[in-house]
Amino acid sequence: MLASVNGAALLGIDSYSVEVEVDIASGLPAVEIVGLPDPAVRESRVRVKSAIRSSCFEFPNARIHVNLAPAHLKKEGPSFDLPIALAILQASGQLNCTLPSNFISVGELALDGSIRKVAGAISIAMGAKERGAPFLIVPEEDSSEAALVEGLDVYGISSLREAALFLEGSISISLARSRFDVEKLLGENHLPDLADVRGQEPAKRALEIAAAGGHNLMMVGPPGSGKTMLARRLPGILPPLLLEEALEVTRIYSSAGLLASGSPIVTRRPFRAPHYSATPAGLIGGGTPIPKPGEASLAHNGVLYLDEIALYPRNSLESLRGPLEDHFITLVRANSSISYPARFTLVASMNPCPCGYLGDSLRECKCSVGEIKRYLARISGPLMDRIDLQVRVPRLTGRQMHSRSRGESSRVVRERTIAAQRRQKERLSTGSFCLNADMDQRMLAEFASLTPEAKRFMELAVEKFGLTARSHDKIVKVARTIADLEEKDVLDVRHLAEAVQYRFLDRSII
Amino acid sequence: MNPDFLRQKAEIALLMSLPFLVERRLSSLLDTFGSPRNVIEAIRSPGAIPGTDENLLVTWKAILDERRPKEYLKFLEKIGIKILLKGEESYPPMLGDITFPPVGLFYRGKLPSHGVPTIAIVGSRKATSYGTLVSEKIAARLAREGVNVVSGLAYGIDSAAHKGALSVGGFTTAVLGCGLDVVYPPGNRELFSLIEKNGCIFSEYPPAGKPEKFHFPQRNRIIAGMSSVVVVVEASSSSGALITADIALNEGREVMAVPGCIFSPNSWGTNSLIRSGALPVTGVEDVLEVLGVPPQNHSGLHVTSSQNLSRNERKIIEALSGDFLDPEEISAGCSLDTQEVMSDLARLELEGLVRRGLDGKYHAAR
Repeated sequence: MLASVNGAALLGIDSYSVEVEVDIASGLPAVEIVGLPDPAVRESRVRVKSAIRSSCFEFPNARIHVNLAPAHLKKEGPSFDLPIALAILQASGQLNCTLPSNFISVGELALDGSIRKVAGAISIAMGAKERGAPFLIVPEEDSSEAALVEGLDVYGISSLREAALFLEGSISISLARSRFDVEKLLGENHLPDLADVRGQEPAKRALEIAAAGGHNLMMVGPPGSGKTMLARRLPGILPPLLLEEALEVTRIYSSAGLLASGSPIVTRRPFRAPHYSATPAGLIGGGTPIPKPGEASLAHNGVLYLDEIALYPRNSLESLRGPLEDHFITLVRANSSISYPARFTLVASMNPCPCGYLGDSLRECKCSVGEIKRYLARISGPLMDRIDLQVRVPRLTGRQMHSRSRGESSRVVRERTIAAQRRQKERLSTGSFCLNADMDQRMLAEFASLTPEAKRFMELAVEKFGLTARSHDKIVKVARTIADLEEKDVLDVRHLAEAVQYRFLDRSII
Repeated sequence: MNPDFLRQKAEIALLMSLPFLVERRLSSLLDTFGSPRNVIEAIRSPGAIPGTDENLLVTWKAILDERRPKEYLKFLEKIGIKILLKGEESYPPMLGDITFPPVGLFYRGKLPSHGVPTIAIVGSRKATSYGTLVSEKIAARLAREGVNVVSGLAYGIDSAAHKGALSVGGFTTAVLGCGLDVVYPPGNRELFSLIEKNGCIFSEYPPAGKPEKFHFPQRNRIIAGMSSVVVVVEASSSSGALITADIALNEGREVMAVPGCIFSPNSWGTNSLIRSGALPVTGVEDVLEVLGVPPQNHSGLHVTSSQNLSRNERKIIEALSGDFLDPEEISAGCSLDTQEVMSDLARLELEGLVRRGLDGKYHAAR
């Protein structure tokens, strides 16, 4: 007897449907799975056998061939358990119905017949909808996540028995509905508040500019000056995620299996802070047979924070150049090539010198000027070229800390960044998502032209501070964002003068 | 030029190019053997120089067998390096008086004119904005008075001194601890060629000589030796400038030090010099006075408020006179917005009214 049921597999954050074909033939009893299964798929024979028996069905005492089509793609993970089991039940005539065609089911079976959650339910649901599947059966635990996709019937099922009865029509199950009011969740802001940081006004200002214009930021300061604390507050002053942005982030987390149970959708901008021992594969993604997203993709639409950037191995940092430029990562493997989105704001921190105490009021710095120059040069070059803002974060003494006010809350600052981003999107409406940091030469000339007075100022600054053409452009971009924060259309010297201050590492040191 | 003298010049240049044969060793050999030609002969004949490492002698001999003095002089000329012998008229007069004067000096650029007053300005490489400012101002003023400003081409105070002298079209001399075809520190390449054009660069070390650690105290003896006054602008407890000051004292030169904030590690060295008797520099006039140049109005280093400044800018400059502050401290002290302070500081800095130090703190500059 032959039967087929559709399952689905993930390829990055996209899914494709897999036809599970089962043939029960005479011969020595055995289960053979073909179609490039990985060990987890091959082991499903054990789970399926026990689960079928535990669900009061009979496991056919015959030779069973399972084919996963398309046969040329490698199949990973336990999500084919449920379709395999259903196809075996159908092929052995244990279901009192013909299965409806084209529906999709996914789920990992436990030995007692219950169904466990799988990775990437939201991507599978999106794929199912695209391919016009009539309905989708997912594990109960994943139903809330899958139900986020509108226009698709999703049923959450908790055991094999329940699935069989449901398909036979013996029981009815209500359509899964997302238990969450996504719009409301998106509007909430429970992230750390900027007002918790006392003092450090220049750094807070730089964070606001970074948030408003999509600029990458470098913080330079001694250990313990609060760089990490500041960086953690950036997601909270970025505009809230739009629904489609949230779904995109959710798909990435879902495909990496990182969605916390109980929160089927990521509603906050991610903040990822990989340790400096991170490998290139850890940062941009990797693994076989199907590469998993790395930290850069997990930080999509959020913040990637590299603390003590000088400690990261060079090749790891270099691997970030691509995503910083293109906003996505394509991982090419022998038989697949997967793209993960990776549009993030990079925040990096470093010490002002190797020992960390240059300019500190409490301890003397022991580094020589040559050592300081070499230290700063370690990160310069291509990666540094993609960082628009540089700001010093000095360490405050206890007295200074107490004398300084709490400052503005994230909510107030966020209103300004939202307004500034709206202005940019209206101006730069190129169809795609574009902020000041993404402006190319043509856009710079069109949207950030300088008055003669401003031009003179920049010429003087370039000459006096020894700036390069590249830092000149960065200063203009940052100044554009500063003007946007003030809701001004014309760039004037004031904006440029402030922007110049955020390029202090480019200046020639004597 | 006298052919005999030219030959001698070539021979000494060749001897100076031998590894580890500089400083006092060469002069003692010259004393023993009478002339450079005899020294060369002695090195080439086995056993003539007792007490020198065998391997070293073998190396020297190999080099001397390979190079002829005249060819070496031609080679030097080709790479733009000349040599000045002790006893020549242009040899810095005071340098000849020190305990171990260099037998010869390699140089680039033009030699300082004879009899010109010479003052060394030295200090920490990791200078504060205060230090570089003082160094630049003193050097500029001295250079305007026709003083040859001597320093070591290091980052920080040294560079500022050279720049100060060059900024008013004055003469400045750099003394290096490496060969004259090596730019050390490499970041000062531009300054190096400026000095070559408008001043002089000396070194005791042959071309391709590396900037070895042990060269620098020897180099400092030349800086101190050729100057009548050594001004230490900023020095931390471990600064090489203190070595220069020590040598200067031993050679009977005047040592002056610029006082600084007692909390600043960079002023520890200078303040303790003052405590042990160095003359404090409270203005350029103090240095000029020691030189014997008649003092004019005593206002050289003080902040003069400038024209067309906004009220805020005036406030900022006021706060920065006599204090090092970071932008946040300024905005707290003057009760101004951060963005306003950042923007004003950049403009004031471009106008040369304030300065930003390596440590990110600002200071008023006039």
